[in-house]
Amino acid sequence: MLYAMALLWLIRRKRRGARLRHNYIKTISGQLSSPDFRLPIVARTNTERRALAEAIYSVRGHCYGTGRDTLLQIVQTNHLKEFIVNRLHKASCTKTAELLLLLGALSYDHKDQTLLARYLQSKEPITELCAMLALLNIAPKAFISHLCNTTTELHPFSRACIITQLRRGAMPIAFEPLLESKHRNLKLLGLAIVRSFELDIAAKHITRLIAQDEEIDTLHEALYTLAALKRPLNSNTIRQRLVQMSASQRKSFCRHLSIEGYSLQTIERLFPHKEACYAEQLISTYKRELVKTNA
Amino acid sequence: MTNRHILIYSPSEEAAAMIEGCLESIACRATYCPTLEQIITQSQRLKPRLVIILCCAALINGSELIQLLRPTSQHHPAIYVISWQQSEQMVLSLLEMGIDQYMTFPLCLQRLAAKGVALFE
Repeated sequence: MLYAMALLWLIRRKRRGARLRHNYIKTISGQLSSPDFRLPIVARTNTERRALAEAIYSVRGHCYGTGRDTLLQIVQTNHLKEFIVNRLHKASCTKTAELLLLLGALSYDHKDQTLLARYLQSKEPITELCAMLALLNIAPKAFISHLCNTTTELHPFSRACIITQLRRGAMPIAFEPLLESKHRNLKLLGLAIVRSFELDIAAKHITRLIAQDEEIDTLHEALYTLAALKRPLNSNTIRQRLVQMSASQRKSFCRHLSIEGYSLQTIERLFPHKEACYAEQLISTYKRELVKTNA
Repeated sequence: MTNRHILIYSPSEEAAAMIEGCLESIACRATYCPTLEQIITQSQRLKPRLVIILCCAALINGSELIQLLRPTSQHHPAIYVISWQQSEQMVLSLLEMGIDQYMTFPLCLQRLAAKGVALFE
């Protein structure tokens, strides 16, 4: 009985929070759209403050343009930043991660990056990632410095989250300094940017990276990025570097090229005959599937 | 009296709330429809001036949805699609299907409001 009542209370609280968030999003977007549309936005209770913080996070995630002053005024009037920082001190694990993302959306002062210092060193991967995303919003230069200094490898999931943030305009997308950097994390991020935004003009930088970089992981990523851009792969450099990859990595890359639509002739030029036969079987299977679907 | 009804379809309630808030600030009546069946029903009932679709997945079957939203030549609402997709091929396919405007997220709310004002003038 007690359990059912507690569950009901939680559901009602969640629904109330969702309703509040919905209303706040509507009011905020109305104010950002039209300077004549002015309704005071006040959050008195903790539930309202949390809903308002989430509403601002949602709006900032979907919009760009003017409105910085309006949002800053809302944050300052309702003391949202202080509320979130207070909550952060008491939170743990996933709740910390959520609150860090909210802090990143509410903060407009680069000095707030000091609040994130402790969380950037966290052993919890999700907390560290959310702290990095918040840092990217608050102080993009400090984010790049952090990537240079950290010993943790940037996981593909982390890279995808960072790219999502970059699509929202967190910082200008300059891939050249990232690809030319000596730091592995920056190179991997640069390659992810090129792949995600389909930047064909980066092809010559990637080819240079393939020729010169010693690390297998970077080589691996660079080859996949070049294939994603549908660039020609018939160069001696690529053939020589492929030999340095393990057999399973080569097979995986061969499969990827078949799926990306590279011709059998291109694959036969890159891989030995035995490995190219695997691609031939795959391509024939795909063609048979196409015929079956169309019949 | 000018028909200032707008229908919004979105799998995300928050994105729809944001667009609702933007359009209501320019004195329009925005109705949120969480499902495709609902938006088709409401379109037949309310005869909106503008339909905003906040994802490309709704149009993955081709122009079927657009034909349902524009069943006769007399009722021809403008259709805007707003999505995260930036692929040129996707955008061209949507324009060929008959949508009037494609916008990407992140969105400029003032720009959307200005387009709404221009449409209703």
